[in-house]
Amino acid sequence: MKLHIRTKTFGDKPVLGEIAFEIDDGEFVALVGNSGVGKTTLLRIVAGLDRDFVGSRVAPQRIGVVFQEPRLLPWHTVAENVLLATDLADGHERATQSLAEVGLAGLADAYPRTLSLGQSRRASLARALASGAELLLLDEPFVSLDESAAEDLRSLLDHMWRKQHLRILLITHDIEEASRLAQRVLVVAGSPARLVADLATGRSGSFGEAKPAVVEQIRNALR
Amino acid sequence: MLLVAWIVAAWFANNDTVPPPWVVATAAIEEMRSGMLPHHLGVTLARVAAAFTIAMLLGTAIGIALGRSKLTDRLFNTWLVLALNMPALVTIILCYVWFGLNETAAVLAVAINKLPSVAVTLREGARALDPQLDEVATVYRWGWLTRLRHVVLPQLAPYLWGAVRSGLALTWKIVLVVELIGRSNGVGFRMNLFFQQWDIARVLVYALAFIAVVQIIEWAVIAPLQLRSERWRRTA
Repeated sequence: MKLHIRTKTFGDKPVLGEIAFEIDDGEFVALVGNSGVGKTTLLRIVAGLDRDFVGSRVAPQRIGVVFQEPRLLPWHTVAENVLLATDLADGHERATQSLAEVGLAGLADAYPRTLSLGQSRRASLARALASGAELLLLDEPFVSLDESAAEDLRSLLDHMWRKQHLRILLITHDIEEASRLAQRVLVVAGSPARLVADLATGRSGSFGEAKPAVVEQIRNALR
Repeated sequence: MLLVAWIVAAWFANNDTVPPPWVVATAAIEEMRSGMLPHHLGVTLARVAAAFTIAMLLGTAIGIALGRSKLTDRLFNTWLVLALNMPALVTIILCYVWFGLNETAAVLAVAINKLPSVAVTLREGARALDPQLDEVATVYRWGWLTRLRHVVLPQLAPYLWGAVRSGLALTWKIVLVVELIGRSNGVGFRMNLFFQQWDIARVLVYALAFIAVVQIIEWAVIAPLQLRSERWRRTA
């Protein structure tokens, strides 16, 4: 996955400037920026939802997105939502397996309306996993969750990444979260937003505490 | 209540203009026995079904197209308003004149009368479609059929049911007029025939029979289907 944005404008207003990065297979990358800096715009470009920018994009065909609002189809059950995302031959098994992996096997026949936000995000993650995505995009997936639900979801994501060697781009405003989960942190700042830092977090093994030095580096880059 | 009012009215009025219930019932039995009532009811229902199906399919397609694209909306809005305000009688007569006094013209005339209101209703629905769900469809690379079935139509369901409900009523009213003007069978044709013979009992037989059939369709087919399509809103 390779992205090079020179400029992205809304009307006359430039929102994104020079931003270029690559994400290797099996790599967990976080993108950090303050609220309103254009992170979601960037995610939509990576996802291929917005092609109206100057620059280039090389991305795998199969991309899974966990949007900030889980965006499940309310008229379908959780299982149906997950199953719809996959056109692979082993779709049924994949769907059942992903639901079990995110801990929603018991809610397969529930309608999205009846789920909590944390459960909806899990369902959305299961949908992305079942699709056979070669790149997983997550837009603030832990926001608005209570701390224990957020932590559960973080460790689930970490577990899935190590088990399935996923290629992940996590978009977040939370510096600590980014440095705990990701191997590399991209920092965007300014107006129009540019890529101001590309830092290795030195993370290995399962995720634990954030390294203060890395957090400090990101904080400085954001200023 | 209604029955008592009817008997009282029949008592005071001339027996010819307001025949009492038992006279109507006898006439109904005779019409059933001769097979005329079922036959003409069937013919009319077939026309209603055909016209209704055409109007719903085309109207929905046009409505979605107009609701999703500002350009097509601007291009065709004037036509739509014109079509909406076209008196039913004008379309009926023009269809008979241009296509001849045949079945195609009859069904087409009814469908054309109904189509604009379906299109307008569905246009509103298509304008309210959620772009966020559209993005999900794009991300997971769903084809147009999957999009239509799983993303677009479920969102349009309330509008579709509105169009179905008002549509069925409008369609069968117009079908009767179409039959009265240019067909030699169907409920409308029979009602006109008995009207000319001043056989009000039989006029009432056909009118009541058709109302009953439409009610049964509403209760037995449409209401349960709508309930099923909205199941997800209620299940806890």
